[in-house]
Amino acid sequence: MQRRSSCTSKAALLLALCTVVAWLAGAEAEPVKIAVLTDMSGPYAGITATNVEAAKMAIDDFGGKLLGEPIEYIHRDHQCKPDVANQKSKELYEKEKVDVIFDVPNSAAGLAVSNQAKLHKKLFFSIGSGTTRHSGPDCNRYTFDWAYNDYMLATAVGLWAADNLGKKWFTITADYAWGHDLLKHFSATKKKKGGKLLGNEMVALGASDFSPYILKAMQANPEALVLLNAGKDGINATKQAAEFGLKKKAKIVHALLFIDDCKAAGPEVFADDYVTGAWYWKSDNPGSKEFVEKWQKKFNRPPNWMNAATYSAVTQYLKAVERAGSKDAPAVIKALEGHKFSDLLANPGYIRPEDHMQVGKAYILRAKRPEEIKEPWDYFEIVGSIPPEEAYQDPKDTGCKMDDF
Amino acid sequence: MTENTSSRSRAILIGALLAMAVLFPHIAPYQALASEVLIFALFAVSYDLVLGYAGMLSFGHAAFFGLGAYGTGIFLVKMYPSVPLGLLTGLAVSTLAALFVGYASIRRRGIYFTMVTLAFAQMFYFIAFKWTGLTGGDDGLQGVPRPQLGPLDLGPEINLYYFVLVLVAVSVALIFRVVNSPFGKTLQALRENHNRAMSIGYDVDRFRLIAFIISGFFSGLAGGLYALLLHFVPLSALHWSTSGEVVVMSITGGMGTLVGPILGAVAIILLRDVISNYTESWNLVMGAIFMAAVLGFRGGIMGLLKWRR
Repeated sequence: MQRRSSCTSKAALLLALCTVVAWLAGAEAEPVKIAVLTDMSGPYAGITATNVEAAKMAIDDFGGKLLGEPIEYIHRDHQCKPDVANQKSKELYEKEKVDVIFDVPNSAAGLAVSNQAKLHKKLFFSIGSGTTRHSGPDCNRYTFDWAYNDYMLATAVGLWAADNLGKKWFTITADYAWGHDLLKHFSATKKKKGGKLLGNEMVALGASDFSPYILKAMQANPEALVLLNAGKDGINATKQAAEFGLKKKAKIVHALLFIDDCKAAGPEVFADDYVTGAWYWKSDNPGSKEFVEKWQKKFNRPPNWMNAATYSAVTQYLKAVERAGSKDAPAVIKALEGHKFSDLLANPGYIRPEDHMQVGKAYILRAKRPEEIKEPWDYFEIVGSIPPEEAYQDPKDTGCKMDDF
Repeated sequence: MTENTSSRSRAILIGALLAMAVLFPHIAPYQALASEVLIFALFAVSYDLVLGYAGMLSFGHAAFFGLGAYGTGIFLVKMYPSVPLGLLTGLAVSTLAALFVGYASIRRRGIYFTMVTLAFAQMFYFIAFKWTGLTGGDDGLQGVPRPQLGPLDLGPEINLYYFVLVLVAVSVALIFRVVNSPFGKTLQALRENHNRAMSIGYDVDRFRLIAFIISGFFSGLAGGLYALLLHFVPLSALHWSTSGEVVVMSITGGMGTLVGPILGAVAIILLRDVISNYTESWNLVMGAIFMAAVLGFRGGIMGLLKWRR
């Protein structure tokens, strides 16, 4: 239908061209084609640009061939702009004819691509964007949410901190959709554990002076200061909290902290802080050591957990195509739904059919003090884990109504 | 050059542009990109009316583009799925905003005018950023539908392209009419010599305000079409960088020519898309091109073409 309506509106030459293209497309045996759409030049590039390499590595380790054809691969830079992500996803699905897109950090970009996946009836694995809408009200049959979401980030560290650090908390929240989302989930955890929220401060994104908020937190005298922000905001807030001496009286808990942040700010800034992680490069999950070794050799540094998540998602997709015996979207989706697996990221991992959330244990990491760090980049220590049933929302409560194909 | 040959060469130029536009989605890297180019061409042309003809450097046009997009998007998502009504809502919102912003800022000249427009645009940006219930905030307004328009199914990208093409062509033709009318000539007169126009007896502020509102109207249309194209409204549509982008397009293409900004939009969007596929430092290349345009060929792409001739 689409092809016919597009051809009638053009000259005869183009009609002929259309026919040739259609014939060529039909005649060729179609290999599986994989795309990574990520931020390679915007604010997240430092964390996510290497996901491209993780996907390539996953394809190589898989053997490079699937269904008797070599696996094709392509990547695009969405520049951390949701509109560009949306347009690029159309290019990938329509012109490049990819079967699946991976990653897409930034929630707005991720949600836009998820909608395009549904419209094009092709797969999308959301890795970089943490919004719970992927496995909640905006869920759809073609989108899978991999490795983590905001609920898990806030809940896991909240549960752990309540049992191990004390029940009197103070939060500093990034004042936009993402921060509000984290605060909502964190407050719910607090209620569940009978904790007490002494106060919350909303801070504009990109603020450089946190001193008024830190002072308020100090007055409230909490057992844990919870930072529901990320990147530069997290670094600034932590530095200033240390300067005011807050770290002598309370622990700092982060919702999101990468080894890259520790490298950038210096390990002394985050010493003895706690954070949720989907994975850490010292993990002993099956295949984890091999992956890290290969990565170290190639890039002279260990991978971050987004890299591991990308590797895992690509691998699990390829295995699902193999199980389904076809790259046909509905067949692959059925092979993924309810699938249990063990790999470098999740041991064990499970893809929930109800909301397409891939769940696994959530790790609690403690940032090491400078004198404890024996190896470059070894900034964290795994101090605990939260089982998936507690770290992720019950699928009955997510608000996801899974649609048909 | 006589009036006759210039109008003939213009007819040829317009014919060539239209022929290019019809074939464009088949040459462009992908169809959705072709629509994006057209939408930004309309945005740049409507902006040129203010910058190139009235000589007002507005740095707040993202407001009208973004409000057009949000107006259309919110109507389609929350009220009633109809493309014409959605676009009309977007137009109404952006035109009203242009009236309001224009009225408040038109009395200022030069850098002060620029700053006031920027301030208003940032105000709209933060309202959209905070009013999550209505706009989706930072996540953008997701899930804007493209309902059937009579017999035309706007779903396929190619159909949407031709729908956009018709609206953009009509709009650009209207802006051409405006520019070549006595009203347009007056605008140019007061751009060249503000005091003299005033002493002749023109109500300068009124002319500037009307030009600003017309520009806001067509920017809003471009925004509304953008919401349809993307199936969602990104918050970045209201961001000041969108205002910057349209300034860059106008200047690179050649301001005050109308055709220039179209070429500028085509060049910048296509280049950005293609270059970003090859290098992460695409911004560096774009910056170099912009600097070359400003320093090397000051009339922009249009000036370059004229000079060759």
